[in-house]
Amino acid sequence: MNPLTWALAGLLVLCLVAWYLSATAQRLDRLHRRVETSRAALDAELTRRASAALELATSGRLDPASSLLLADAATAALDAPRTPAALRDATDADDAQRWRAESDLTRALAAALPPPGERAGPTGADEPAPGGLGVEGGDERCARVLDAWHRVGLARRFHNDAVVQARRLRGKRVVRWGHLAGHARLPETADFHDGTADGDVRPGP
Amino acid sequence: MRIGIVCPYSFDVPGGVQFHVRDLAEHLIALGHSVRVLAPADDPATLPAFADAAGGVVAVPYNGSVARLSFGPLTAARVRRWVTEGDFDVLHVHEPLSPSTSLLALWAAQRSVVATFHTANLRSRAMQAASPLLRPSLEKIAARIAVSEDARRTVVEHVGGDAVVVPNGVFTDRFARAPRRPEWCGTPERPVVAFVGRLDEPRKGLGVLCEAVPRVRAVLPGARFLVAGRGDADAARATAPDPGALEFLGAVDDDDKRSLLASADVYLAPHTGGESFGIVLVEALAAGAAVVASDLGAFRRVLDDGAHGRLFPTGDAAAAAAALLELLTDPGQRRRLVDAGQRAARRYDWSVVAADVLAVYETVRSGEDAHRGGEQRRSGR
Repeated sequence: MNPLTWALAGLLVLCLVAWYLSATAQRLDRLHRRVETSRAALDAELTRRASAALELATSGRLDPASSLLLADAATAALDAPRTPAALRDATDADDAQRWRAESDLTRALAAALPPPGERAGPTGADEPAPGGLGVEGGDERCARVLDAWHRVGLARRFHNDAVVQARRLRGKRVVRWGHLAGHARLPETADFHDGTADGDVRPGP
Repeated sequence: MRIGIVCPYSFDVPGGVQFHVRDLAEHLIALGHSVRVLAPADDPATLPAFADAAGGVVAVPYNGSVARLSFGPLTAARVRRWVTEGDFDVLHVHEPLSPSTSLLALWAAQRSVVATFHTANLRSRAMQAASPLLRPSLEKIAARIAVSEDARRTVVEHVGGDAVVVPNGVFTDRFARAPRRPEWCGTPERPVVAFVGRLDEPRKGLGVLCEAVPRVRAVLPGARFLVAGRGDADAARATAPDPGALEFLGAVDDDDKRSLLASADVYLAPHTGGESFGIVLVEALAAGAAVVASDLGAFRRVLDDGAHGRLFPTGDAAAAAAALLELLTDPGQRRRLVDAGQRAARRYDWSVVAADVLAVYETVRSGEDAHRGGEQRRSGR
């Protein structure tokens, strides 16, 4: 082979490598964007759930003990910083504290609301709750909390799915050696108790 | 909301995915959303008004049966144009791993993609071979839905990541209100057992039914077995031990299927595998038939481990016959099962299922909106 062929072959390999690197960087960029988007969705749904829970707690439809417990958990969840800037700069410790507050709210809701079989509203059984929250107005608030809770389960699952895929790509040698991830923080899954099991995202006890 | 739904299989062959897409589109349109469906078809006139043709339909053996798919450079260009021009708030692709319009739409999509996985029997070797090519496309899916716990497990094992379960929908009212046909209604002496499924597909379990027939007829000589489904009835009759009790109805349309399920005393689902969800079980429950089914995971979940229907070990004709006899000879027990079943079927009504699907769409959108809002605030500072 003459030098020209060698040079052309080398150029071709170089082009292929460049194409592969840029395609991978694009994939990674898309995944990072997906992680940010799904995290924003999760935060929006968590805010909705906490506000709905606070509204239910202050509605006077629950017994005083449940109200106090729920109001406490809901305000703790609402107090967490949730601006885009705060989310970007959050450390793992900040996140851990945040998820602890959300797990507490889940437990408080599970304790304050009637068991799944007796719940009214779009995510519960079709029969209205007997007594307790079966008062007008209370039902609607309860349904709003359950709907928000259901969506928290969805959003958490979508976010964690995005995180798992981003982390898998970040773990590849080509990404690590090529520093394709830049200074982006390695995403972490949202590990809090949302009261759901397996594929079922309907809030349970 | 502007919603684009992509179906990978041609509408001219009936199938679970096609029905799901059609019914979902109809229901979302009834709720006031703007919905377009893209499906493989050569002639747009054969499609419902809300659907667009992707062209280039080819019949290909895929996943155990012959599927009518659409692919090739022309189709890819058309799908890309459809996605771009549609400017959808949410793009919902079905069976994103089937080599057809869905995969092409995923390839063309940029954001807000929701994907529904229907199948529980993915071929993992093909998946492994193709995974480096498919993964970048799959990574675009912002929200994954599986139609059953089995389909979800398939996603987790073969694709990685997770999915939320939103079951297939059924217009339960249409089944509950279906008119009964006198010639399909059973009497205490001549009870009727119904079966719906392709005759020539062994996994639908017609063989198990045929074996169970003589055992049932030994106790109830008048028992009738109505078999609805496409396939060669003569061939099926030739292999049956007691062909006299079988009545083949051939392929039935939706109305006839609903009437059959509403008229029959018991619906038998002797499937031997490959079922991801078992929508026909929900249909039978909604129509008011008592259900006897093999204990596949999907069926166990729909029947709540036997609370809404009798289960028997998969493929065991003797156990199937025993379960049938138990129900056919005890109207009181049958009544109780039917009542419980009709209540359980409401969980799968489109009003409930579509609300769940919309919750997924809105969750995806809320992230997009919040994220975009955040970026605008940052750049406007």
